[in-house]
Amino acid sequence: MDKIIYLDNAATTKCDEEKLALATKYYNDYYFNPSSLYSGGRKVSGDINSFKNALLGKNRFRKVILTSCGTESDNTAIFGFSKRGNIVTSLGEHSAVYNPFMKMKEKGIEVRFAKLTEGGFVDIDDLLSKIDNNTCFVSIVHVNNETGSINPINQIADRVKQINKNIIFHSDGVQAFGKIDYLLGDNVDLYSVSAHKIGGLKGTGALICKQNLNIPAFILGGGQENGVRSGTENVLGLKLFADVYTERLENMQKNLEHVQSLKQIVIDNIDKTLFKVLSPIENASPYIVSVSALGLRGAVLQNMLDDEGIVVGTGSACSSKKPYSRIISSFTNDPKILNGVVRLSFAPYTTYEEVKFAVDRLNFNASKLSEKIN
Amino acid sequence: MKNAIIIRYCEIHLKGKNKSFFERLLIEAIQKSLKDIKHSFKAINTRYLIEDYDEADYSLILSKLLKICGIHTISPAKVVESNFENIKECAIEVTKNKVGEFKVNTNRADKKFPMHSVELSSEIGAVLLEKYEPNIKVNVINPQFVVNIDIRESGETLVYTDVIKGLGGLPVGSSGKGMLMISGGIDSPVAGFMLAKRGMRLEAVHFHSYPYTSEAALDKVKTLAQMVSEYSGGLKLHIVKFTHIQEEIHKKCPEDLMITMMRRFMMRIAERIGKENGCQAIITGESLGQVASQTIESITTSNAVVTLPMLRPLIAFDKLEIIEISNKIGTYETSILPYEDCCTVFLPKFPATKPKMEVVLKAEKALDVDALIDEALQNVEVVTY
Repeated sequence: MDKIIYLDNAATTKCDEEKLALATKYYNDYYFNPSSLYSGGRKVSGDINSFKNALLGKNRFRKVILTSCGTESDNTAIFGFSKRGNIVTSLGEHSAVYNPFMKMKEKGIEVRFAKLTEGGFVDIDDLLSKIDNNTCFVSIVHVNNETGSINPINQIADRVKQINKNIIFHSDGVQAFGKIDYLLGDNVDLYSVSAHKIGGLKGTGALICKQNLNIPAFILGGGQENGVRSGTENVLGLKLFADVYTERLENMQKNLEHVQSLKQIVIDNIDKTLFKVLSPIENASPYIVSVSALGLRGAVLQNMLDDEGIVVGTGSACSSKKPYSRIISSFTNDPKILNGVVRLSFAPYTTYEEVKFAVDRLNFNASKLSEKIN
Repeated sequence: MKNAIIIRYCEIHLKGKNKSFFERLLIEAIQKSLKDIKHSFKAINTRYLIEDYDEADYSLILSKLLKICGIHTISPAKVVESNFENIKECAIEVTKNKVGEFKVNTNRADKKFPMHSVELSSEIGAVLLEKYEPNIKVNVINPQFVVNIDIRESGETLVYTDVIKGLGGLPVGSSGKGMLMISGGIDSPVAGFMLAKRGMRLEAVHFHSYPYTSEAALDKVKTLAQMVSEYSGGLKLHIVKFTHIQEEIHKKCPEDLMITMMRRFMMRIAERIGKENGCQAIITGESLGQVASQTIESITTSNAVVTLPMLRPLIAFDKLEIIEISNKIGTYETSILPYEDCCTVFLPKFPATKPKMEVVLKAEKALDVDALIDEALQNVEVVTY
């Protein structure tokens, strides 16, 4: 494959080849079933525990349920705890949360959505006003996958539980995990994470939950994952997940500074006569910058850049049925902005030169397109 | 006892001296579609027999036959050497999973067979009753299924109960060749299918507006063309880059006429490619009044630029009726994939629903029509299915 400039790392990022080789070696050397009782099996079983501990970082009194992806983690949390009364989320959620909530609505559970403010933050006052004694489950995304805005989930969870302490609080942390620095607060019960966003394998995710929380079992069998999700463990995926996460933790500050400077390149160099920056400057993950090419179409720009070997994301798949991003349209309704969303998202290995070049080409192509269609 | 599949045609029966022309095309279509599957093919009068295939291939063969235009019905059958014992065994076999009222129908082409047809029917009926009562019961007036016994002059007998409806129509190639304008929506694949069913060989043309529409949208059109080709016995898809023409129209012509002008270009290009490839007609999925470009006024303005006959098999169909056929031929789910099939970047807010010819002609003067078409024709991608 020709060399490309890849700026869609929030969708997925390149697998860490070196660590994959190490994990593969481990996987081949210790191919035993972790549930078996001979020494090889016990060794792998013990290693699985250390891998899981690595995923917990400094978080204490938590356990890890291995899943196949962030979406499965979200689904496990939502379908496991939305039992009665009402459930509350925000309009800024990924479809992995939004669609299960809509499913619960079909099943007769009352579903409430909190509004977003400019930049894609959850409107906390609006959220709290929707919580009452009948609320049983709340899910709020940690880092918004389209704008990068960071919701203060610990603070939100505290305030939610002040109103009703019986609520189970879940957060989708897929865009935060291994990218921004945080410690989960006591009131965050469940937290979804995914490996392939930080250099691990697709097909590996986890649900981090409080030690004493009993998650209803939904795949029955040999009793793996505390009986919650039976099935022989994805040892290769988990080992790699633990390794890449450990490295991300070690380099957290360095990576953040680097990526912050990449975000700044976009903000400084994007042509303000053609684009509006949608991502917040502060309280946002620098890994994601969304801009909108005013009056143009994001998908068309995406195609034009793709021809030049530059890969960027858009607000949503160009679709005649759902023309606009659900998330962006929940804090602005200007069709000129909604049409033109382009998302740039970075990895620690993304370089200044790549971002600078991409922004220049984005400016050039937007101006060319604008001349043609306006 | 061995397995066979009986194939029958319908409308070809009505043909006169050129009947053999239609039969030859149908045989060719069947042989082409089964060429990679082990089988033997035999013509018996006005029917065809597929034999010597692996039983595991039965459903594959059936699925292929059900996509051949001109086949009226299909029956899985048992074939044996003609004698009472053999026929009895076959009848027992084909009836084994049946429930309900039945009769036995014998066709004795081989007059040397020692029993008369009525006699044989009643004997076999008695055998079946004895074997399967109370699941089955005789009803000669209005049976739920019929056990057919066909004693051939060749010394073989066919026994069958099921009659599966085929596509009908005429074999592809019997009605010339048409150029289908395919968009990626629900209608055009259905239009292509319907003309194939009337015996028309197909080519297709698609107008692609990259980068305004995505490569994914083009892949979808290719998938649809491939699906239609299964009915039309192959298909050549011409992909025309339409972007520059759209940009020129957008720049130089009134906004509300965008679609009318685009349609006129598309028709001209379809005709040019069609004529170069021996097509005798242009086929569209237009349905009267469905959208702005399909009002009678819009159709008049776009139709005016071509001389080949325009075939619009869906013109009087409702959307739901079209969807029904689309589901039947298996294109619906692909058609509704959410990629844009026409460029909405240039879509006017208020398209002219009743464009006037003189206004259109005047607006078109701003463009160098021939040069734009020549340019588009220089860069056509062809995919053959």
